[in-house]
Amino acid sequence: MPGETTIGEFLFGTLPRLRTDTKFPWWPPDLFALCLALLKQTGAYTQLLRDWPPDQDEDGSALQDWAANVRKVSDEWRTALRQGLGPSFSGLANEWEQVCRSFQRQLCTVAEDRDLLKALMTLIAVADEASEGVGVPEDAEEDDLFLRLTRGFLREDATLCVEIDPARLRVLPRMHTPQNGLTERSLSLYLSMCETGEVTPRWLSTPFLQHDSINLLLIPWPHEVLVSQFRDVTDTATAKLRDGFGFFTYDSLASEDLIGLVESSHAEAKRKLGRIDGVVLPELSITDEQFQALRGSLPPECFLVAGVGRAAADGRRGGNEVKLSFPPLQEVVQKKHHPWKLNEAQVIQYGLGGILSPSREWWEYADLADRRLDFVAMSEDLVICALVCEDLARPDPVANIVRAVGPNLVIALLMDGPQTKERWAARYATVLADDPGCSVLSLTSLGMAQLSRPESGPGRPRVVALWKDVFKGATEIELSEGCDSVAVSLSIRYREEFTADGRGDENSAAFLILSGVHPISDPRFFKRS
Amino acid sequence: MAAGTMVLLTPHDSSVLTGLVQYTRLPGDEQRKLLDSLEKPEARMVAEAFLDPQKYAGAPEDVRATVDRFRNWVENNKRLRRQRDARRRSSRG
Repeated sequence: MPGETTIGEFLFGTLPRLRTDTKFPWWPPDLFALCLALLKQTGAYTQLLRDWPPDQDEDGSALQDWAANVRKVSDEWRTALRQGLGPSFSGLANEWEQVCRSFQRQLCTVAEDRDLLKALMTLIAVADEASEGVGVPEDAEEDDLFLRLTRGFLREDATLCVEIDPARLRVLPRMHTPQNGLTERSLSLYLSMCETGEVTPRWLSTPFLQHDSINLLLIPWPHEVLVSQFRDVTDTATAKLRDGFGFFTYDSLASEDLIGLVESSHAEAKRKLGRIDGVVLPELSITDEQFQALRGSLPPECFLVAGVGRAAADGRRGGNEVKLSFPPLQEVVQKKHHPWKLNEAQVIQYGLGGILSPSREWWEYADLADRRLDFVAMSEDLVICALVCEDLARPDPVANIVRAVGPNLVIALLMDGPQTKERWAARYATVLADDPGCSVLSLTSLGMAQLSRPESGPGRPRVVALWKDVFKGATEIELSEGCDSVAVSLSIRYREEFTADGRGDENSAAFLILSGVHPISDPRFFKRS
Repeated sequence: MAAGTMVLLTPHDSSVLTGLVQYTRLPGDEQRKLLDSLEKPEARMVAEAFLDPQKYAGAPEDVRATVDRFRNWVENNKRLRRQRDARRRSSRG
């Protein structure tokens, strides 16, 4: 009958050995996942936090006492872990015993048992604090066995857990804790629980030299998109559709101008700003050959994030992916997760009616199998990830992992209309800035923005990018007349983030803010004219 | 294959090396285990050149450039750590 699942049965589903072996899970990410999954499943943390902290006193110091006690126990645990003595750590024996005693009780009773809730919250909080520093490089004068092992686990299995199978739950590092709303994500500073098995995350490390700011060169390429680059491939597709639907593909055009443009724009941007740390190009902006040529033309200290496309041909699906190159890390490829569907309004908006009938709905014919999400840990303060177009808008399956980890910067590569504040990208960027606190940069091509015609009013086709961070409203980034690209400066601001149980990170959370926008024109043009 | 003048590393090797260069006081057997886990010979050359000044001196240019990047990165991380510690001290008042 519904409602008869016990607490034990639920926990056995996450960590099967508990059926016969109830010894304390001495690896912090395992304990964190186990207890947080239980609190999330029951929603009981909302009950506990109605009356918090647990041991209130008259002078109001209970919250500080709670945080200090959590820190004290976590320090002891971390010291044991650092010395390879994790299995002998006994500082949470009472709380774990409390959990084990509840195994036979029904899951729905968790919220009624305040002692159990307090024990679970203590276990989660201490495990979280004991895991400070996971996933990001740090200056380690002495060998920290715990951090070293977590690095290996992230590398091999994309989870910080030892005992919990990633097919059941993953635990990843966390860069931001939401400061709005109340979810299970509000309960930790350093660890995040990811439930989805549909997307495989990958945690990548690269030796990026972080300055106090990052300068990016945004190239809204191509500068022209032709209607004829879109093609109906319904008849040759191997998949069949009902009447009223069709498949389309998009041909990226090889252009000899691109490499020269990027080289000269990079040089000009570097002349203006002194340093360019990364170059970004939009969705489906270049071919794989162009990506390789661009990589070869840029200095190795400059990373490259670009939307790479391959048109469908001979029934074979096309490719739509983001390539990330952060030397000396070799390039990695992340496919788009959701196909674009052009409906009547979009066909008309982009003027595609001569090729794609507005009376049908058109699915992008692209290979979307093998869903991955790459997080690039560049420094102790910076983790970035890239999303392709629809992946920014669809909450499933990727957005949950993005929200759990809270990368400092999300780069959204789009093939879209102008990036004005009122359009969809700004809405979804705002959601990620709100919870968990990511800064979001979206970039489309000038060609696609020019192809887009608003239903009414004047178009603003030169608004090719949009910036959103937690501190300010969305900022439109416009390509000045006569310019080919835009360089933006992103500065790092630190702010303290707090968990819902009142623990703070002591000003460790790093936020990127937009601190400069510089139009870049191709200097070759001016030399010629 | 190189980007500019640096060796290109697989995700595995990049992760191993970023760990290796941070923990210079790693016990010898642990260091060997990490070295043995490297997938590509070029990555092993980078690791060995990082750990051994003589090997660094005789290494190809792209290997030395990669080692230099890792060394600069370690220094960069130290600077960030100092800044973080200062922020924490000021946060505690």
